[in-house]
Amino acid sequence: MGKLKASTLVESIVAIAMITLILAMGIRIFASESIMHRQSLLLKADILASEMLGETIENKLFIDEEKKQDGYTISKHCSDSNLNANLIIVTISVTIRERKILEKKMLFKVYK
Amino acid sequence: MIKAGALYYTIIIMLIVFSLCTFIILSSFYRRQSIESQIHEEQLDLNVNSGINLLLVNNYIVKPDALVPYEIFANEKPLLLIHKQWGAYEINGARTSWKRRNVEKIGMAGYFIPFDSIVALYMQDLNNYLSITGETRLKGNCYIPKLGIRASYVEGKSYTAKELVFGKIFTSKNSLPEINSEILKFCKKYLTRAFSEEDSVVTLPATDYFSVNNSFFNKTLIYVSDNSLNFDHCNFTGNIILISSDSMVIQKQNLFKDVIIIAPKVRISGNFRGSFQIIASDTVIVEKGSCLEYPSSVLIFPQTFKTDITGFLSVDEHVNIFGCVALINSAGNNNKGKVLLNKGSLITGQVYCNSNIEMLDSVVGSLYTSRFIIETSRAYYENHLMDAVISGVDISKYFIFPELIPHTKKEIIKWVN
Repeated sequence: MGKLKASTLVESIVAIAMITLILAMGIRIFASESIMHRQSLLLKADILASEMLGETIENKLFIDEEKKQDGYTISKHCSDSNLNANLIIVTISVTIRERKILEKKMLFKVYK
Repeated sequence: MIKAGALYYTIIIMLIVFSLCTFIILSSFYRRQSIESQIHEEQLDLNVNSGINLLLVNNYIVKPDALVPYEIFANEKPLLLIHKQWGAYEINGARTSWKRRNVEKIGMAGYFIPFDSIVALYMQDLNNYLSITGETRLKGNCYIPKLGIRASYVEGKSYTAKELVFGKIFTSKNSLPEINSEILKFCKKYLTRAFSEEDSVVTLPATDYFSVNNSFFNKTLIYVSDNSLNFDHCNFTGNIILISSDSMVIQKQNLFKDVIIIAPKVRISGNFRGSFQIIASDTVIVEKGSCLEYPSSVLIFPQTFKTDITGFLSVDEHVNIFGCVALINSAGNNNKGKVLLNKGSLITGQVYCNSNIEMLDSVVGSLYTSRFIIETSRAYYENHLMDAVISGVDISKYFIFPELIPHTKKEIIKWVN
């Protein structure tokens, strides 16, 4: 079995330092992997919110609504706008484990 | 056995691992940025759409003709909103920005009228009958004078159908519905050249091989000329008004899109195609085979300058106009002007005439008039319709009408970015 032999003490110390650095970077990468996981959550939440908004536009369904999908809770809240009586503010928020991930809102016209 | 010098191997491995880590970290960073940008831009789009919706229900919140900042949602950057009357239509736009990204939308709007509320015919009650003959067909909601409607025998033709009206009959009033005051104000402003700060007035440099495009977010570009203008191979698109104090001729080789032309007399040469609006104070002639595509309009306002002009519009054979046609005379002169819709012509949208209409073909949509006439070589018939079709039921139920007669529901006809 071959031996890895450092020629000087300095060389050994430098090699140890480098290995430590690589380890630190590895941990960073691991952390960034969890960031990527958060990004996927955000992306999925955006898709779900857009879907609900699309349904609202298509069906002109301006009532409060909540649905659960893939662990996400997507809720739609419709309220009168103070800008005009013929306007409704639709707010769609997506939460996961009671933590709000994103919110979208838009003014819709509904002639009363 | 590997000799001493492990440090070199460590450095090489470290460089490889370092590059890999850098790549993963950077890609993760840019991915995060791209997702956040995408979500933010989607919200910008929603904000712009919200701004347009706000203007459609209440455009009085912003000063007309200028970009005005307006906060729609609390704690968000205000939108820039713009609203302007544009002939028989209106322009509503919204703009916002984030970082270096601009999101903007601007559209031409009109009125949406529920299908069962569309008025096919509104004939002012001047204490007379409406007499119909030949292949005349009235379809939809018809407002007719109290004396009523009757079949008659004119020029050797008798009425060919069993029913006089294929739809509901209502009694009309002794006046036509009021025309939208914003349109009157707009036409008067430019016919009398009462320009505002939001107009950019210049002299027309050429009438042939000239091309210009102006966004509706900019100031209105107004080309003024005191001469008679004959356009040839010109391209005018967008927020442009062409004004002549004499006459204008539009040849078929021109491209006119969304612009407005204003002159006492306008002639559209045969086989022209385009989508624009005409405002005249005397006469408009649309020659054979032309098509004024949706959304277009022909508005004639006599008496802007002289009281003896009564207005004349001739729509020749095989002409299609999609949008509206209006001849609006002042009270003292409203029995003298004339709209002539020749055989083979079709107007889809609205026709409004407080003078006389000689109608030899079709209007699909709504027609408001004081009286109908038929002029032949032998006789003159008042309040007669011969071989004419007026239908409020053959129009698309999604048709957005011009804003001639005020209604409540506004919708975007098309985007004009």
